[in-house]
Amino acid sequence: MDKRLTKNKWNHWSVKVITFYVLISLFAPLISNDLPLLRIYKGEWTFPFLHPGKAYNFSNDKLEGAFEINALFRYSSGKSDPLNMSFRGPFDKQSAFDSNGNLIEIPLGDRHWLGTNLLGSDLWADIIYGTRISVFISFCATLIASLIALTLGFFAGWLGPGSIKVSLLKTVLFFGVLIFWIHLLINIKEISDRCIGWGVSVFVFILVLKFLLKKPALFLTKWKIFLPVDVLFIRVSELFSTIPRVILVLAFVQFFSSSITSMIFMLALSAWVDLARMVRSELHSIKSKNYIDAAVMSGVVGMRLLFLQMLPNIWPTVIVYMLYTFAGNISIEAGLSFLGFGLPATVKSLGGLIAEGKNNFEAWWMIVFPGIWLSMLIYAMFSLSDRLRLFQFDKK
Amino acid sequence: MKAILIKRLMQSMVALLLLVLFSFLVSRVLPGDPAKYILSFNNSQVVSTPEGRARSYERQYRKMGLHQPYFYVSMESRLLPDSFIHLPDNDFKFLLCSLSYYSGNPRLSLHVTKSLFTIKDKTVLYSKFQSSEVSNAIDEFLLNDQLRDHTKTLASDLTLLKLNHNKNYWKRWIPQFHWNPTNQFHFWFFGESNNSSGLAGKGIVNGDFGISWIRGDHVLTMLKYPFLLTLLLSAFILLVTFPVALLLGGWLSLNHGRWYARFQKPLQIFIYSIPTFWMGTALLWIFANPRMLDWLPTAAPVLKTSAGGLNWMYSLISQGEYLIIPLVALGYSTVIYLSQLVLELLREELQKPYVMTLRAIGCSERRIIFYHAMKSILAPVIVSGMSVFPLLLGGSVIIDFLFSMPGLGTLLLQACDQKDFPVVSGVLFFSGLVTILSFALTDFLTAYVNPLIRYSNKNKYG
Repeated sequence: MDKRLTKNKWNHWSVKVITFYVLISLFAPLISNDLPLLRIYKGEWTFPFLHPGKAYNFSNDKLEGAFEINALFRYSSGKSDPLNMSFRGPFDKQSAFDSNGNLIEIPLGDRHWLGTNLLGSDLWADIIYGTRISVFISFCATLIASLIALTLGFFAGWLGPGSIKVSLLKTVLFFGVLIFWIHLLINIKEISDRCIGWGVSVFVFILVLKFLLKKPALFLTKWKIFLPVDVLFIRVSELFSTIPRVILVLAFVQFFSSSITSMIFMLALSAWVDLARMVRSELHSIKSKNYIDAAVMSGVVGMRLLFLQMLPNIWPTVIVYMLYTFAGNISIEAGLSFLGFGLPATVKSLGGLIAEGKNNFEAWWMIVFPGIWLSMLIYAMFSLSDRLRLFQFDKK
Repeated sequence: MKAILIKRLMQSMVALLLLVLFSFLVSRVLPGDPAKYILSFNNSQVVSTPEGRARSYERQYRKMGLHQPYFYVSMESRLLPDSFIHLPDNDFKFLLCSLSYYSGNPRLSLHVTKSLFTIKDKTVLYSKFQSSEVSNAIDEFLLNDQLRDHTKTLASDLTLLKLNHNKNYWKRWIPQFHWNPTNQFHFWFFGESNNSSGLAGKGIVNGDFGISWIRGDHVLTMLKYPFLLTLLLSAFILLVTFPVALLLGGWLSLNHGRWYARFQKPLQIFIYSIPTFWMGTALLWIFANPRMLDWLPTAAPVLKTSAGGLNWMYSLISQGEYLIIPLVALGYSTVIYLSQLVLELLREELQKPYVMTLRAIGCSERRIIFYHAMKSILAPVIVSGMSVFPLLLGGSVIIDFLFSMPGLGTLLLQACDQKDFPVVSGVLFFSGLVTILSFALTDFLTAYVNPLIRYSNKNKYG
């Protein structure tokens, strides 16, 4: 027996690296913050880092007799350090005020270990806050993309290659309800103007479809028509895979205002294709397997067959593709913010940091550190997906 | 053979149609007034008086067909009059919409709106109806003596509208379909052949992608040279990377099991996981930086695309040193992707019986890999190599930005920055078109080369 089969496939260095990145991005405000995490002053416990709006200058205004627990790195992202402005490097001389207000060499604990940018904000703080934004956006985009991909891939794979025969009445009902729903969303102001209107209408749409399509009139079911669902899916996915992703997202950017939410949706809309194609082809190959025949003969049909018999068998491959998509999303997001599109200018992102360094080659730390940090994350993801893929092959 | 080609082209027609629809969405439905932009370029039509300006705007608006509905089928609420979608003025539309939703009487609302728009002080009226509830606006209107004396029939009509309030309210839930033989999409796609309708434009089937809103040039002329440059670079990269990847993959396969071959995969994955934009920046920082190695120039400042013809090609070739870093930054991921593919395919190929026979005969391993096995894996490698094409186009956007090359990326980014939607849609359409056609061509060539696919009746795509 191959040794690799007995090993745990998740026991890999890249899992630790990815966990490290996720923890860093989850606890970024606790790791690097210019406000104290906890302050006990005259018996009163406060958590100043939860209220970043209140200004607090740590070097001069330290409260007398207060007990404070500070973050490990005492700088926040985007907060300017006026004494170390205009690209102070990691090995350059950095200065600070002492308690009497004199200009001194910065103490070792307060150093900008990775340097500062033009406005004097700490690069390390910028990097971990940027990672937070990048990982959050890419994670949400990957989740939405895989939801879209699984749904479409299931439909296309389930309904089989070629066109399918469906009841005419069901089709007419389906498209009628769909058109009415679109009419509601476009033309009725009370629904189209409000977010809750959209949500409720989606819910009602699904409910109506469920009840309408469940038990169609029996005397009408003998008329059938051919619906080329699978072919249509192939063509649409072909379109999405032919337009380069960067150009596609740049075209999507024109439809939305630049914000984190719209960035998530744009990435998701452009990322679902590969996963959906994979799900479709896997389902096609699984449908002809013997154990599916056995399951059908023992009475497992419909959704139970799909979710209990088929999905567990394609799940490992889905996870590999989701990791690919995650890494691709991070890369594309960083590239777009490098170009200056997609995210508002106030939001710090890894790509934006590298773009800052690109304009000023003297500040080498602005190029090297964010780039290596970003590449390591993507490298860990690719390595993990490669390992998972190899385990897939070994089992086969 | 002809049948396969035609069949494949017909299959890509659907994707092409969707591409056309998407480009139309980008070029027309996005916010912005094309007529206003076009007027600003026509210096001969500059009129000083506001009435004259409004008239020339109206003429331009109708000339571009912007008063037409967007698509062949349009859907409106049942409460709106039939002519609603053909109305040119958005203010008029808004007022009519709110009035007929309020009263449930489209015909009377149209009449009232028309007479409301004959009043001189339109802006006050419009803001009143926009800001407050319709019933309040009507009350205010009726109380205002000055306005009421102007049009007495209007006052009575408005009172009637108020009386009708909520009468046919249910009708708004019912959709009403219109068939529009003349619409913006049709005009945008096919153009207008006879000038009697007052429309001017040839349509994209005749190569008319409209006029750039910012520069005022035709989109096709703006696209020509940047697109050619990007295509040339991508084709060059494909041509170079194929042999390099084949050699690298073969060499790695030849040295499989050596101690240094153990590091090849992690190393290749690491290089592959470096994003293109950082690779470009890092290469610039290392090789084009006076403080590091000052070997290569930073950006391609000349590369004049306007010269055209042979001069342009000559300038591209003579300035090869400018292109070294861009080409490396664009091509490294392709090389690694293809070489890994070659490696995996070779590993499978080398376990086949014919390889064992060759080994028994005494054929050297080098000859088996580089001559016999390479021949049989060439076709799948070429197919996968063509699928890299969209990645190259997308990467060239970033590379153009980094090295300020006058390619597709610079044009696209500039257009996105200035909200120049005709150019954006043109770039989108052409980049999609080229890849769709190249995919079709690759499939056709595969079928042409491989008799198994050629003679099977089964369609590869379902």
